[in-house]
Amino acid sequence: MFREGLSWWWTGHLRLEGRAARPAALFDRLLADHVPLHGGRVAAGRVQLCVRLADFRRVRPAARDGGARLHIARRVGLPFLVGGLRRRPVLVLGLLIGAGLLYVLSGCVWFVRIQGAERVSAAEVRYAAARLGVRPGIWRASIHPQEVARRLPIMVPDLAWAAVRLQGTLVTVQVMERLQPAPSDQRVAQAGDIVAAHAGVVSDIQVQTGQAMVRAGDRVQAGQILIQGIVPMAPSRTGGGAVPTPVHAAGTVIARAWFGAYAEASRTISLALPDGRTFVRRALVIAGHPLPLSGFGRLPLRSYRLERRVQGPPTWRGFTLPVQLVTQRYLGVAHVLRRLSVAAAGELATASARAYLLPHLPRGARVIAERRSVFPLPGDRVGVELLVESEDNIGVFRPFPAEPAARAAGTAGATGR
Amino acid sequence: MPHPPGRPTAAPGDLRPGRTDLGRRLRFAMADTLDVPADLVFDVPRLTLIGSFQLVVENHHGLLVFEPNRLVIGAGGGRIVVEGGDLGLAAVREGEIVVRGRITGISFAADPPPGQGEV
Repeated sequence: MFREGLSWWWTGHLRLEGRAARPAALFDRLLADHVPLHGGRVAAGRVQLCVRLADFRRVRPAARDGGARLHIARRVGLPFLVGGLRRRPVLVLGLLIGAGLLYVLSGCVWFVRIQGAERVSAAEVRYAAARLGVRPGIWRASIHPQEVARRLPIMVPDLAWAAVRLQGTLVTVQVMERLQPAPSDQRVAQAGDIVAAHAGVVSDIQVQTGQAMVRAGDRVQAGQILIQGIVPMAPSRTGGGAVPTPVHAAGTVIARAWFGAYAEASRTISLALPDGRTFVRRALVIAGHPLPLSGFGRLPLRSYRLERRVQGPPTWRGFTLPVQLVTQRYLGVAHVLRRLSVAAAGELATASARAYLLPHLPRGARVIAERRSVFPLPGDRVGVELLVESEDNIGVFRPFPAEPAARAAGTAGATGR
Repeated sequence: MPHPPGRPTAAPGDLRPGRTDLGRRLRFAMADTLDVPADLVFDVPRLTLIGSFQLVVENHHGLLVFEPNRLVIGAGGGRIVVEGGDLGLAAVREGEIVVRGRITGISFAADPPPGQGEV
């Protein structure tokens, strides 16, 4: 049916309407004359049908047989479209120019995206790519992605690898930076101890390299050696005793530690409750310049809570129109004083103490227990002492001082005791 | 259509061979033996009904009545009466009529005797 419809549109067809005394005779004659038609309908003495433009003259005998007076109600199809365009040369010219512009513009590169540049600046990669011909405004056909990808790491030495991908008017330059040895890797060669970062009670110790100086249950102080970076090596071939050798101590020392904080809270608090009043301000921000739209009179609210919403047009191929609609909704609030119980005020103070304490815990620490004591204070206040028990790896590496030999000798003596 | 008494004949569109119609019997036997579709051997229409909204009539003999609720199409050995509502000719091609609308009934009627007008 679609192909037939397309064929009818291509050759053009006419919709004929009118009155017919004998509709059946009209259609029967059309059938007898082999005139293709569609959309044939009869209602209250009126007929309508569609015939091809080429068959229009063949309808006349049938109309005579059916006693019909038909007129053209609609012209559909390519021949009529072409005829209409012939009468509008400027429109045709505009369409052609538009299509040509679209073709030309879609053949150019308009956006260059750099991906994967973290230590190397994207601007540096972009500049190098531009020197190799990848920049907005050039023909897509003039870009040789493989050549650019080959030469980019030569121009930017910090790059290990690059790939260039063309997607429509967008060129994506994907780069991979050279790996540099991490500070921890550089330190591997150094000898030193694992010492306690802070005080605590050791609950578990796992030694990878070195010699454990503490065991589970020991109480340790900050800076105390936990795993020593001096190990007695096996007897040498010379037949002497164990030789103390400095190594890079490694291992995990899990310890529990306790941290405390104190906080107070008032039993009388001020609550901001919404009073139902709303005031809205809208502004259009064009390229950073606000254009007030509505609600920029005097603000009728003394206390309010502000909700801000920014709406912008959708992004297309990484490009966004610099237009935003900013809506600020001021929700009026009324302040109400409320007296809390000791327990409720204690919760507030606890939350305050916890908010202070948790960021100060050692990095990676896990809270395993919490204890608090709440007590009323004069002046309608409540105090809370919060004690948090945490567990973390307290071992940190500390390299030996500059004279490792002297230290090694001294420590070896201690080890030998 | 009344038949003379004692003369066996087929109903309109009935392909079964009558006792006296020798040519018809021969053609039926040939179609049966060679496994040829009957509408190719006999001058009879082929109707294809799609749901209750589209009817394709092939090998017709013209349009006799065209009303919004009734269509009569001439065919070999009789007439096809299509009843329904909002009936129209969706397409007319070489030897084929496509009727579209709300089809409620299709019947096959015999040709009226000469001079008795339309169905």
